[in-house]
Amino acid sequence: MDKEKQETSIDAEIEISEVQEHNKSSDDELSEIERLRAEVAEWEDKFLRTHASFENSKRLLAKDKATAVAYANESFASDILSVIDSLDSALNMINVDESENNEFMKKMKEGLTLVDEQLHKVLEKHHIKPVDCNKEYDPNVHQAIMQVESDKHNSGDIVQVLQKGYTIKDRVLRPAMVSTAK
Amino acid sequence: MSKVLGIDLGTTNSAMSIFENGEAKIIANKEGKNTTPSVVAFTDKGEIIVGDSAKRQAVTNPKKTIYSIKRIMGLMFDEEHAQEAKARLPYHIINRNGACAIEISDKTYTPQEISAKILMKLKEDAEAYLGEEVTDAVITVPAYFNDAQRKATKEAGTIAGLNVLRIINEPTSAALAYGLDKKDAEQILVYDLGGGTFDATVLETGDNVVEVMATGGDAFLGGDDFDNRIIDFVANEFKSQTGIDIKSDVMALQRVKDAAETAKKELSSSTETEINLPFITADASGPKHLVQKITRAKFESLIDDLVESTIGTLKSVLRDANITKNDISEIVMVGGSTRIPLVQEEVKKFFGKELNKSVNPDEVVALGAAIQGGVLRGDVKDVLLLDVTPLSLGIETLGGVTTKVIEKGTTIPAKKSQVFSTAEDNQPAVSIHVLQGEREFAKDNKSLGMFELRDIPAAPRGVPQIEVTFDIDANGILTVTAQDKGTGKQQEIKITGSSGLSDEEIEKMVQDAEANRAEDEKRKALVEARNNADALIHQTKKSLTDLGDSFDAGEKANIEIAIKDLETLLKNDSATKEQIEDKVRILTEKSHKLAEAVYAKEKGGKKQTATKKAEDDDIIDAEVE
Repeated sequence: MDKEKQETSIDAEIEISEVQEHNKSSDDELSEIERLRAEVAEWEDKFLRTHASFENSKRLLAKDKATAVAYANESFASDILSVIDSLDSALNMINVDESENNEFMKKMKEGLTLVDEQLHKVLEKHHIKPVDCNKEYDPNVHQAIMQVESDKHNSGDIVQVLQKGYTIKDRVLRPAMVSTAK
Repeated sequence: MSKVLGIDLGTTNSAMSIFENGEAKIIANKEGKNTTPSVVAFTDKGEIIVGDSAKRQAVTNPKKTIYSIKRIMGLMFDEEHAQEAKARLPYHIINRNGACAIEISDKTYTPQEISAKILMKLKEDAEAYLGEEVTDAVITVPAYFNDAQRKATKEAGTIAGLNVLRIINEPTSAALAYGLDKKDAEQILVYDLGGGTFDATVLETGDNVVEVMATGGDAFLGGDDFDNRIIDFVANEFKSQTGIDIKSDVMALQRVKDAAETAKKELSSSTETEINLPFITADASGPKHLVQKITRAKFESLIDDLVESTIGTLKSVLRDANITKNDISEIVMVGGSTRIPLVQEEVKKFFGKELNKSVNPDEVVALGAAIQGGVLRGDVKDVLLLDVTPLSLGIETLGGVTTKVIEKGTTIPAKKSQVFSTAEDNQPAVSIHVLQGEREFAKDNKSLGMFELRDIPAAPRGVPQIEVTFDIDANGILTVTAQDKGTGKQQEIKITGSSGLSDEEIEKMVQDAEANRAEDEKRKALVEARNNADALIHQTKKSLTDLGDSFDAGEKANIEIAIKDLETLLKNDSATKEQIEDKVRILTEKSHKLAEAVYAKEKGGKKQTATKKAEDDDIIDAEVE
């Protein structure tokens, strides 16, 4: 009888300690689950942020690409300006009076003027235009490199264009170099 | 959370950058330029303009165009540098409560307020580009700036509506852009040669902190001076040839200035250039042209003394820091003028070490500021450092060729699949030989492993669909799976340590591939020719068998001769691609009648079993896809 009781009590102890162990491991499990939940939430957040960041990058890359394509010619256009300058200089130097009997020079000037027009047509086709200097001084497109005396101009107005300027689409390729009235 | 704007607020020019997805990136301004002149102008119309447009009207508006404001930021009116600046600058600097202030018309502005206008333009342009608000910034200052100057710079940021997270030193910023802040207990020399100033700084790294040990320089030495040496040379040569002084002609001088700057830049990559200015001017005898060759050697002789003086400055800065040149472990090059080969050569010679110059020297300070912003924001530690596969991965295909499945440089984890097929009729198994490397032929690449997929149902060559999938996980473990899409049966192999090659080994393999590329491509073309010939023979024989007696016997004999010819050629190992292609062409031509007969048969067949055949066709199309 006693033995039975002892056995029962031992069993009971074992049962109790098993139950306690079970509770403890339940607690452990619960806190593990909590921890895992928190971790999952963290990863979810990271993933969403990375994805959002990726979307933003795509948007900016597309923008950059569009800009690069739109202004792909900018560097070439910039370099060709000095060639245009040379041609302009040449034309300016050929001063042939209508009365002069220099047919060859007249024809040269005529021809070079046609070349000049041809060049400007090509430029315009590629959205490269000369800067308009027949308007008020505008620092966005005119670079003032000196001030001169002038009775014919109001103060601050453009007196002389020393070097032509050009724009490409809505960017300034090279500002026009001008002198302004004091 | 908004991004942090890294700002290089320079004396002459400013630049800005942000930290995006683990990288610093320069942001262009509204005008499309990466740098913005640090100029603020108050026009007669009452407008305030900033940047290029302000610079352009400077000559017409000298009293109200404020440039080089950095020279008096945070200075007291009586300080020596302030007085020096006052003497050189055309606008009105006054004493307001002991500090410097600018007087414009009847208003006064602090230098902070002026700088704020520059910062505001940068902020607006950045916001326009990013499409979002920018509130936080990191701004750089010279290493020699004192507390008052740094405080003033921070104030300027606040006035501009920016929350300045930190003010950092320009040389430190440059070091950050190269990741040198991670070094421990090392000395770094930053050589900053810009458009108008030269600064040399010795930095010391350690404990995640970068300290300035000593700094020195020349506030009036830069790229502009190099340009002037060329202009002087060209003008003198022209004068001795023509007697004309170009410098007195405003227009001509401008063209020469532009050409000189272009020539200087060209001489950084060519050993010789020519300044070509036709119709530069004219005198009584007619138009004059300026054509002047300049060699790099000549240019170097013109600027020798200027570069020499920077080396002298280096010596004195090292003395101030109490170290020798051998104590310097890294040299960082900043400023556009460091692109000049002579500058690089002299600095390299002086230290006897390679220079850090891979980052754009005009942008490196702004980029470093953005990186600092990223670090402060925690972006840097959050960024997952992902690996890339250093070498391509693929399998061996017909002819001993390597077919790449994952290209080198692919970020991992990555998964890619490709469908392959059998090479022979009734082939019962495929052997998947996994390779790593860039060479065209399997035998030249590294073998990572091999396995077989068996029990492929009998079918003509090219018909079975074997999908091969390469899957690399985040730890770099590669799993290659082969699945017969018809039966669903699959086999796989797991390969660890596939990226266990050292950097040197990887580099060597890449270089080997480059060196052998032409040769490899030739051999591959030959293999492809052989494969095509094989396939053609097989297809032709099959068609002949299919048509049987319904095909003209004479034609058949002709074709069989051509087939025999080609087969004999293929047996010869030294057959060339041209020879093979020639015989293939002959066989194709001879097979025209055969092809016609095959189509005729199919068409005839079609009429009788129209619906069914059409359905079959659909299925075949889908599989080929």
